[in-house]
Amino acid sequence: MSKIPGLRRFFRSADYRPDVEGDIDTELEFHLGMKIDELVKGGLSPEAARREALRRFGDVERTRAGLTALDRERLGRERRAEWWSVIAHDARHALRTMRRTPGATLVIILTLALGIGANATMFGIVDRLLLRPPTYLRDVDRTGRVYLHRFRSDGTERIDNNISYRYYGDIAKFSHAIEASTAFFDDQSRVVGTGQDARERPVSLVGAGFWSFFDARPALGRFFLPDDDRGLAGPAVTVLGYGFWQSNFGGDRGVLGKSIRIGSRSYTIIGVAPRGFNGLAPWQVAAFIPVTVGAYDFLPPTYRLDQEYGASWVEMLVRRKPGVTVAQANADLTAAFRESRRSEPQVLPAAIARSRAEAAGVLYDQGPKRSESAKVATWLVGVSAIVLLIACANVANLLLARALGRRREIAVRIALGAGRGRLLAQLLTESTLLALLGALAGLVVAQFGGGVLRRTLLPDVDWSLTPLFDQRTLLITTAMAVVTGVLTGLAPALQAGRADVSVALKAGGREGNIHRSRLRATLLVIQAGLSVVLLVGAGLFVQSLRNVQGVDMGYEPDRILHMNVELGGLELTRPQRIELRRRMLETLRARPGVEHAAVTSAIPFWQTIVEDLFVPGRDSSVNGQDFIALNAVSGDYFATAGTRIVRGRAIMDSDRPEGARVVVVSETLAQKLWPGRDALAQCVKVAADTMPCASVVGIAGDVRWGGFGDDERMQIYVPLGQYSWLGAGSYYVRTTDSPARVADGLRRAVQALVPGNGFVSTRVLATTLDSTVRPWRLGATMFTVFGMLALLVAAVGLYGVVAYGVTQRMHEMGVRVALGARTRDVLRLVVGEGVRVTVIGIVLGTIAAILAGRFIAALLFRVSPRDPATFVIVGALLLAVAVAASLIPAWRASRVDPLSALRAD
Amino acid sequence: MGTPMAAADLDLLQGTLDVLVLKALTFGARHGYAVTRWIAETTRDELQIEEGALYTSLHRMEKRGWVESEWGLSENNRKAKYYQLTALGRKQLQQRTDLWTRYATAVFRVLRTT
Repeated sequence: MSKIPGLRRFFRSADYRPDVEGDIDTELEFHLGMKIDELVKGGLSPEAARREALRRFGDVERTRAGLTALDRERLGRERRAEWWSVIAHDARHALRTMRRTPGATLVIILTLALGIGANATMFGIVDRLLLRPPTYLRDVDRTGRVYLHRFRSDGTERIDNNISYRYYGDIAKFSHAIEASTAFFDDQSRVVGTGQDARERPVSLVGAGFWSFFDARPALGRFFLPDDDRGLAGPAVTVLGYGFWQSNFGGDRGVLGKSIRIGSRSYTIIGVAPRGFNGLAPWQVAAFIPVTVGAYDFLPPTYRLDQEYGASWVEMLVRRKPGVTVAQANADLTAAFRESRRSEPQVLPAAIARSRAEAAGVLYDQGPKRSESAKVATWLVGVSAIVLLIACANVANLLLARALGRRREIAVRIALGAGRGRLLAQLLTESTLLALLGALAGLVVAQFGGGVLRRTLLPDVDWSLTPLFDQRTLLITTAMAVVTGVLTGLAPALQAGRADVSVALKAGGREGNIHRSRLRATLLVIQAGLSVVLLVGAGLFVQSLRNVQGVDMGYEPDRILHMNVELGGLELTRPQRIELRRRMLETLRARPGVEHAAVTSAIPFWQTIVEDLFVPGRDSSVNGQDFIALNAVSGDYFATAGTRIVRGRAIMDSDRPEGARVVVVSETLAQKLWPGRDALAQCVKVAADTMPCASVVGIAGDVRWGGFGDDERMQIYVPLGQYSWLGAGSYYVRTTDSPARVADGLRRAVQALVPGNGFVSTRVLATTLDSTVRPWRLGATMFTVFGMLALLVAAVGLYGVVAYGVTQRMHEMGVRVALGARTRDVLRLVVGEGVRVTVIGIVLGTIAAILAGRFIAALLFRVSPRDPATFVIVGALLLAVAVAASLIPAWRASRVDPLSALRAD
Repeated sequence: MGTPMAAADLDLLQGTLDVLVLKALTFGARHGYAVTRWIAETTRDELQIEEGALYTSLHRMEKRGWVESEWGLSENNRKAKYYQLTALGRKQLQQRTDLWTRYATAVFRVLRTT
């Protein structure tokens, strides 16, 4: 021990602080004293001698301050050097220990790698979704995304981030606490380019004020000015995204002034955004266009953007004035919102009074509408932490076993005078070193697992801008490793500190200390319990996923291809439109593999038209607060979509404009409008009270329009010819084959029919739905992966402990066998111990899972967090694993040869 | 002989003071006062060094690891801090002595030129 330089001082340093100032005073006093003596001897009076001595010394105070600083620095440096040399010594010792037991070391490092890797992966994802503000955004703390809260007639709250441009304009105008505001809309897919080069890409529609929210300078050219954002009257200009500029124009600086087709118009390129700039969109934006100019791609030209309330599409970004609190800003926004609603037709004063607005975090997933995926991801962070805890418990157990094996060595060292602090430091160094190695391997796990996870479960997010390992992830991972090191080293270190020297030395190689096995059993119970929690979570999520996938949507997404015709700014007369639709349907229906085709004006999860309804004998409360989706459809629609007609008839091509007005309503709407009465043949007026009666001719099955839950199931279907819908045409095609496979052929077939610059885009309905199913898939996959991981780790841990226990008790086993114990008895004895520990774990884990269940209930789909089947299956699974893990060492114990076992000691 | 030279008059640099102190310690461990005495005697009081600067030099060299210190009892039984050269300090002295000799010789040559 004495070979380590400065070791003694190291362990003294905790309570020993050298008195730097006192030492300097002593030294200088000695000097002056000697000097005065010398001068007095030379004949000066003591008084004069003192003055002379001080004069010769110079500025005493300044010198003393200088010396103090020098000595402090020196002591600090010495202490650090000693510290490092001790650490280096311990690390070398730890490495030697690891080399002696490569197998156990490998198991430990792998266990930790899985635990730390899982956490690094989850942190990376949550960081991107929930924590990291968009690049270039300035004054993040004062910037917020606006949400509007309204209430439906049934009292449920509706929160919108997509609002009408009218609301946006009014709120901006009426509010006072806001320094800057802008409207924007991150369109995830809009056709960019023409002909063969046309691709659907993310395009962001942003107001001129958008740019002032960022500290970004254009890489080339300029951003929009207020003049560029003037609706159709404004010039069609665009700022390209950096990545798009690189990939499609090769970074050509002469790109300014060129034209590019985006949606239905041609835009002049006036600038290029800086690298990595995507506004607030999580994905890579190809181009930015002025919000009011771009709006006309999906709003009819007659739509008065700044006056009408109907179409909800833009999002609003605001920045509070400095010094304005969040509460003040929200109160101000609410007042402005209510002010706007006062001029809104058909809104009751009570509804206005309950409406409110708030500015929440800039990231969508920070706001009140954060995606289910984000919620699940947050939970998964907790889950990955549990995996790490299990891994820690396991490693602690293995280290404990190793420390027990080294009990003699440790006792000898204590007997020779090694301080317990030193031993503690050494054991902690060893476990921290293991944890750091585990973290290193964990980063490899995260690299692999994170990549897979990002691609398969969260493909919408642009990950290209976030490296898998940035500084934050590395920092967090290192912190995790250190904490892990301390956690895993603590148990063996504490136990070593407790070691009773004389007992350990006397006991020889054999162990039997109840104390220690209790600690190890506790760790096993924790592992088993946490495994139960995770596996129950996995079971619940898997069932949720299955339930979601089994939901009857009211239509058959797997069979439907959605085709959309965009006319590219071309205005068709009504007869021309009707002719185009007729030819489209004719062509589509003639194609092989097409069963049915129909025109539809609304698409689930994508596009909704909301119209006012008037029913004689009922007040206007049907409207305004309830959201009734209207769908103008051609004949054959119900057969195409696979929506059931419960009673009456479907809409047919024979329902012509000049014929009797008819509608079909969904079951829920029928019950709501005519409770307790037959809806058939009732009168409904669509859009205005002055419209003629339309007679309900059929009742259709409910369709889930915006979610898998039970909201918004009120639909009304009208014949296309009897409703003035201005869209160029949106088609459903029911295919015999998978829609994705025939999509391209069908698009080519009908492209020729589209006049001018128009184009046809296709979408597989199932794909759109798939993104909605994703949170449950994310939860089911990750809980299962983590749960299995936990189970594996726990099984290895149990095996290790039982096996170790058996080796330690070979002597006892030998005695038992010698006394006539049969194989079955020994098996029962050993397996029984493993099972006993596991059962306690299962019981505690079940309690924990029931308590935790309350919190995840909201994330589940039609499965109770206390689902008994799940708990029973998990318990049985864990028990089976416990039996299997103890059976191997038990078998070995039963084969022990009593003679050799007894002789060994 | 004339009046003693103050260190400042000679523009006595820190490094120079360090060499003198190192040299003073080559004969064994000494406390700061003994170092000042030794320098005064050796230079026959030609060189007046501000004693505070000498202590700064000692502590600075201790920080650099050229000297190390230990508390001891002085000739008159008072607690004093004794400084001692380290191997590193010895090497420093060697190098600096060489440097100084060459420098002084060169300057001397120039001044002797008639």
